[in-house]
Amino acid sequence: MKATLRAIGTRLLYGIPVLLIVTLGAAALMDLMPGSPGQAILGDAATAEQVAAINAQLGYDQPFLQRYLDWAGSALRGDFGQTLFSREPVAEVLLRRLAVTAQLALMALVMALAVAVPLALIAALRAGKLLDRVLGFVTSALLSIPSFVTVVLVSLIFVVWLGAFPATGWVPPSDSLADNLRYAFLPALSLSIYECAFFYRVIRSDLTGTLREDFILVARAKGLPRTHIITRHALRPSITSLVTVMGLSLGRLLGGAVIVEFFFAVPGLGAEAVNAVSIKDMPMIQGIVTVCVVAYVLIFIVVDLAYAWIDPRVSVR
Amino acid sequence: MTSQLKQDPGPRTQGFNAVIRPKRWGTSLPLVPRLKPRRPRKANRGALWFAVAWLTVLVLAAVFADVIPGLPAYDEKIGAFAQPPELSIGGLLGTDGIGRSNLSRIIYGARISLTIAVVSTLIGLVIGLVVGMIGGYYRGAWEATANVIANTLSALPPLLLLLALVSAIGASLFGITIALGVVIADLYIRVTKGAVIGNTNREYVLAARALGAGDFRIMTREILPNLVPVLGSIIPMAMAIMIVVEGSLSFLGYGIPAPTPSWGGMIAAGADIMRQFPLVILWPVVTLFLTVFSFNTIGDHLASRTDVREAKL
Amino acid sequence: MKMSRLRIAAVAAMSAAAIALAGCSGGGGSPSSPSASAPSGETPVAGGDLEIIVAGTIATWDPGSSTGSFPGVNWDRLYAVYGALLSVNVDGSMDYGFAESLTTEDGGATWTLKLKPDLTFTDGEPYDAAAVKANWDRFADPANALGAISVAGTFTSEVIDETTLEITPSEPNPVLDIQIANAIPFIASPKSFPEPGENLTEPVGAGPFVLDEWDPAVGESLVKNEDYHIDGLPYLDSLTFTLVADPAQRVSTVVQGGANIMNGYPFQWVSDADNPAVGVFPVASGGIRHFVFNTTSDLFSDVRARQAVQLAVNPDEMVQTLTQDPSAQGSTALFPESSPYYDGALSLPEQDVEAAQELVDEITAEGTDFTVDLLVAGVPELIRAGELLQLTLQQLDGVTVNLNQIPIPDWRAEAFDKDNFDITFYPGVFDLDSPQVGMGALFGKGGLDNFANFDNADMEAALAEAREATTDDDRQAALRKVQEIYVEEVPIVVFGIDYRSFLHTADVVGFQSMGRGALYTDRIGFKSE
Repeated sequence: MKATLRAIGTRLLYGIPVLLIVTLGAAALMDLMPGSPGQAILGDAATAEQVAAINAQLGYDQPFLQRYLDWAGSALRGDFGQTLFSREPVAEVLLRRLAVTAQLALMALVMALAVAVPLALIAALRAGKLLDRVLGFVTSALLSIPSFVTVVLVSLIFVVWLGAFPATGWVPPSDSLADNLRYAFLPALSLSIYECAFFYRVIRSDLTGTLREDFILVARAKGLPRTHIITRHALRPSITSLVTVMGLSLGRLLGGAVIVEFFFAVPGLGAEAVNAVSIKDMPMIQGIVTVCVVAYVLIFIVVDLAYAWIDPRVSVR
Repeated sequence: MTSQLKQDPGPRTQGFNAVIRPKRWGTSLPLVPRLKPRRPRKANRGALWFAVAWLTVLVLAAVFADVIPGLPAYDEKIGAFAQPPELSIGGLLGTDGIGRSNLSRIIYGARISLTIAVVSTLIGLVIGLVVGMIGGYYRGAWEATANVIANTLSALPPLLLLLALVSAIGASLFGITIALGVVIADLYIRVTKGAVIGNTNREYVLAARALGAGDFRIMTREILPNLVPVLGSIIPMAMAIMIVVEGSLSFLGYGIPAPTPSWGGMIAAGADIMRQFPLVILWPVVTLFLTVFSFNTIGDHLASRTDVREAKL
Repeated sequence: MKMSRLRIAAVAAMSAAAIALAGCSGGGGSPSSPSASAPSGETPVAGGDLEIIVAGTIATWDPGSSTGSFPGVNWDRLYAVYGALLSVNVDGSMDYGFAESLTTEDGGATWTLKLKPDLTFTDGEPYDAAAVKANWDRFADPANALGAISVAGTFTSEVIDETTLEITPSEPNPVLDIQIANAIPFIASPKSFPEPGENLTEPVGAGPFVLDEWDPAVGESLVKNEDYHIDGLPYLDSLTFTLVADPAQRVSTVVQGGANIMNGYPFQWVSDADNPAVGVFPVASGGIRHFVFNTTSDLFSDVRARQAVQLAVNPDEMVQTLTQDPSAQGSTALFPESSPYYDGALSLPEQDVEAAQELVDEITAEGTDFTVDLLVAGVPELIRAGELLQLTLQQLDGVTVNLNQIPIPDWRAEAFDKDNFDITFYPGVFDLDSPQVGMGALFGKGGLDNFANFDNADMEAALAEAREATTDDDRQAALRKVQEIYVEEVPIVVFGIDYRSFLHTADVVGFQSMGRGALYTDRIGFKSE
């Protein structure tokens, strides 16, 4: 137990320099980019002096290091500042967006697992036969489709041809769960396609290795039923790789759903990030970046803990 | 459970055997990794040949684009916009939204996409090798630093990092390549570090040290060649990712500026007129897909040949 | 190309409006003509929730922050919460909201604003002449850094009584009413003013709706203001603006019925033209598609360079490529054929590539480098147009074109403030409502749409005549002079006429738009079942 706690502590400790570098880097990058918050607020017709005046009001005429330290100081006290336009607390807005993206990510993961695991099992059992070859080809193909093509195809099939799902938009679950699922289905589906193919390949290759192990032979020799062998013996060793890729996927989904959110007009973290970058909303950008790093560190702590729990041979270093 | 294999793969080795090649000036330590005996790959023989053929054709077309007879320039208007395919070299795939030859733009676009893929991979590889090698060899604080660097690069959503980098450096070929190379570097850092750690305690390294080889020599002449199989299986897949990410950048509006054709830019332009003229977007999508698929297939094949578990993740 | 049903309907609507345009007159109250200044279709029923899709959120609810009465930017939202003192209709007539009249007796030296009596804001404060003055003084104060200073800073005002305000411009301004209507008709409750530099996030006005929720990544939702000063309006119970970033997805959403209205141009929904589930409402005033020369740049301060570029371009090709509509017609005149100001003789010369090449050779022979920096805002249709222009010009010997593509939020700063271009495309159309004011913005020194930095004494004189004209004939003569100078000096190149339009679900009626396209959201609603 102590070792585990120490390991968690180490991970968290390592996360801190990452956080610092990332937030500092974000501040530096925003500085290098053209445009300014004043320009975004005042819009087209403003003169250069007016823009400069607003920027001064917002504290933008100070050197970026000073601004960064100010932000870091208040962030440590829990105050992440206010959004540029609506002046809402960044933390609140972030939580709302995170909830949306998290929901999509979880739905995508569940969909991907639900399809990938059974298929991988069947394919591994029939390794080398037609089904395995076809699935291998199909998943390889699915991994080669970029997300901006996936969204267009998904939209074409489900919106234009089937007409069963809304083209864009989002309804929070608190308003109506049924509507929320309707609106969330297409974005989650688009996200899950890549993950499903990825999971399938990992599980399948893991399983083919496991199924060749001696203990499977022993189990067969003992006369255990096939289902029992599959579920209790064959899947177990693959769980670690599954957990790893789920962690990777979750990390990827939380940060990378930008195109899907853009296309389906879903108000999640990715959409907010693109918006914040374009209007140079510094508090929001720093907030998003912080959330991403924290989520990333947490996910990998959980993954490591899961390793230790699943496989007693693995000790968390 | 049935075993389809004709050969027993044997103990879980790194997949290669060291071969000692004595040289005139003395004994040089193992340099040549030999790949495992071919194990019959369950699927995709046909796919592999197709992948190799497709990439060869693509590279040849891209390199010799200027001398292909009858191919119009990529910024030349050969007819009305959004025309369907016809039986001429320029019009083989029809015209795009302005009236330029789709075939020509795809071939010249291949130059850009492949250049970006190769150069950004090289950049990422260099960063990854240096950081990963030092971190994996020296361990301790160096490894921690390498970890921090890799974690930093991967903690940020890649598209965001790219958007910001490209806005800052500029949406030129140079800027995009650098940005992409930086973003993919964390993959190479991790893989290199993992492989180096696995290798540093092997006997041949100990032997080299006993013979008096310095750290740098060990790293470059002993360990580095043993990384080739691992990296070899990762590189094609990473290149595929680079091509796709460049496409995403163009799709969001931050890609290579016009009129230089890039597949992502063509897809973005075609997406706008997709409802009236669906053919225009079809060609770059199919080309992108086939190229990425080919890279992935080759990468798969190399990965299976070297049987390194990490390569699957 | 076959004309679709929607096309025919749109053209018919435009012709009707054009006839109304012929009877237009500006300055001081004028009788509204029936077809363009009343809501279209049948009277809407009370009730209903309307959803309008937009491309971007608004930055602030400050009444002094409007960026023009275009649809899809902040004007629609500001009108919803604040209503308007007065507005300009597509035919140039005035639509009076909270104001009863805004008139001048002395050619624009002084103006008198009369408000309707007993108006109040939603917080109970009186909407009287003092409130109007407080707002306008606030706009005019440079410390508040509001775009509205460009109009509010040109006059001072004095409260005469509760409903009367006397306005004195610093110079006699016969078109001040149009300028006010197009920039500062929004009056907020003085209690709601923020500190200088603070963003106004909680608007208090007297408009048809009240702000309910605002989430910059999602949109804005508003509910009916029960105390709106016109009985029976608004028809709607609620109005929602929803953000959808991808343009093709905006069309999909309306076609599918996921939202009710989006604004754009007809070429964006050509493939849905025959769909009975949707309808199209065009903004009859129309506008010109054009690109602009930076007349202060080294290369294009020479009129021959501008003429060379213009002669190389084929307007039909340009407008067809931009709209992807093979049947689109190019046009190089400043007005559409249906306009009373149109004169076929006042178009730019036809495409003549040899003549263009001659001019280019002349210029390069003098040692000038014919390198063009073409600035393009990163929207797909402008990228197409820009690439076509680059392709066309580079066919001439000695011409190099560098295409610089930037995101559209950054475009205006690059183009207008920094003049960082040789040629740039004007996004969308430049509206032709109230041309006596509009042409001033386009060609006048200091005009807010004068990207060309055009500064020509004859043009200034002609523009002044147009503003001060009191009869149709005088105005026509003045605008004729404007067009003659345009043809001679070629500061911009017009290549087509287009009409902003709204794609809407078939159950929405009561469309009426202001001059540059923003909708009167208090008059819109749903059909009876």
